[in-house]
Amino acid sequence: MFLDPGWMILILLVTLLIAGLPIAFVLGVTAATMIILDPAVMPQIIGLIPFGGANNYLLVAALLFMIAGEIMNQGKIAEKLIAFASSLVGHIRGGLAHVNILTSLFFSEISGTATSDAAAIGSVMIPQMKKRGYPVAFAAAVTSTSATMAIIVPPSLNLILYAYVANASIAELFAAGIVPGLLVCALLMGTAYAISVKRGYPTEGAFSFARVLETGKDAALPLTLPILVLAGILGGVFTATEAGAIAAFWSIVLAMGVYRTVRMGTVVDTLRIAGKRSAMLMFIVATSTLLGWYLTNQRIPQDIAEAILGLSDNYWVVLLVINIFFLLAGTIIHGTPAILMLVPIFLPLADQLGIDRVHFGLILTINLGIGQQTPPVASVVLITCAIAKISIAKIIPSMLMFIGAMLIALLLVNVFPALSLWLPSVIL
Amino acid sequence: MDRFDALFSQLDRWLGAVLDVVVIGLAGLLLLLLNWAVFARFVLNDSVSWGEELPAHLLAMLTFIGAAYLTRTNEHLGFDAVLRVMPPKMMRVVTALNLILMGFFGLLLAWYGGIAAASFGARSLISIDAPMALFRGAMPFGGALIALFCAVRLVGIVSGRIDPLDLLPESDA
Repeated sequence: MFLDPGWMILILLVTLLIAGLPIAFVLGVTAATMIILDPAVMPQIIGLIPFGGANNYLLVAALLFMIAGEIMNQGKIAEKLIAFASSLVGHIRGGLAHVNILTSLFFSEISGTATSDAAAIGSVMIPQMKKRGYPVAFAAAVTSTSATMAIIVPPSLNLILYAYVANASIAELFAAGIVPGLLVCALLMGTAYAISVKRGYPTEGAFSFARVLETGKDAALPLTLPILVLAGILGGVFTATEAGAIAAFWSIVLAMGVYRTVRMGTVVDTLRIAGKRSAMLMFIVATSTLLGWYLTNQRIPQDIAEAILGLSDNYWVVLLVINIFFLLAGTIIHGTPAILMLVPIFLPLADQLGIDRVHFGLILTINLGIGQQTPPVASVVLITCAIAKISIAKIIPSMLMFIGAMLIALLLVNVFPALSLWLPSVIL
Repeated sequence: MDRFDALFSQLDRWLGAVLDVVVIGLAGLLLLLLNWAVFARFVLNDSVSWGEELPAHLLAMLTFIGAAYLTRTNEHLGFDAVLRVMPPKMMRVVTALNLILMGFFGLLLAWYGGIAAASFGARSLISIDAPMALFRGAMPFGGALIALFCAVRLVGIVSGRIDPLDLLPESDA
């Protein structure tokens, strides 16, 4: 080969990505080109490895949680969660902003994806916040940034994917996501409170325990879903995939049987949406497995790890470099391909530094969550902007304080591994 | 030429409808099978033998057939911020090159996937008597469809009948 394989892969990836080739094909074409040009590798591997990547029981969970999240979204379940959140935190200054953030946390425990979260919460909360006199940009910024919690707390699809790539325990990862998720929630609410006090945003009436009980009754059934899922997985009763099946079934029972907000046609539409999203995710998994196989075959991740450690072997310097790299990657690549591309490269480095794989997974997902709040790749922001009918340029200034709060959470999770590792060590 | 075009668009619509049914069917089947597996394990206390192997293979089928469907509907995830700001002629050339690369990769999946599927011959899955070639065949089938859809779109782009903007993947710009 006329060029070092590592450099050639980098050039191909960057060129094809910039040229607008879909990401799954960027990975597949790069891998196939390298394999065909390398006389030491049999090209027949192209027919074997991608199927092996797609043939994965754990990742069936992603499809099932997508079905659950989409049914909950279509079934207007978010409205019941909003009423409950309102009774809990509506009395605080800037009440609706806190309701928005807390509902996002509740819905995150059901949906697993930030886009579903933003769509479900944003379509109800943004118009309500507008009506109560909140600036649209502020309402959209709160919705978009709080949706990030969906990729940190269980059943985060990003954590499921990371568990597969890093060969880490999904139960430990789910448990590890809870405290950082609550930390992000608290910091976002603190930021919203500070802004609300400064700008004089309203409250939603006095706190009433009777109202908490009344709305809590309505929200109890949807909230049984995350409790069931978490208790089952963390208790070792069922696998993440079985939990996904139960979540999807329970969401259909609730939306069709109990609340009657969804009909059979909607379920079929949901299967189509979830089937396509799952195929999109899995085709990236399949092609990235092929590239990952070639990278490992050439020992490229080990070479990168050694090169970075050659610059500095100081734990904090290397961790800072990794964080900056993940943050930047998150701004230009979606979460799924970012995890599939970055984990095989950086995991050997994390292992050499002695970073726990579960802790590393949380660092990665929080970084990607923050990165995806900024263009050019910002699906959550785009969905929120579409609902709020506002341009990205107008929402960005309002998002800066909230992004700052998430950066503080990221810093704390980096510096204090116990924030992510304590809960798994206690309950598993 | 018009009759040729009409035939192709009819075939395209028909394939789209078939892929739609297959994707919905596979997603629905996975939902049913996994729930049955959970019910059998926890309620009947009699775990199904195919509990992990069959769903994993069905997911692989969904992956490759779904990838062909997404190619037809231009819904693959991509980064198109640069492509969108290119001058129209350059955008047309780059889109054509992208379609060639996608079609080429589809052909590789079809060819090598076909060899792999054939090599499994009449072998069945371990847990259930279902031919492995059926599941493995999804990869060459999906790859061939990707190549076909890309070829049809390439003709449209080169002849000027298709606007490159209509083929851009999900936008984030």
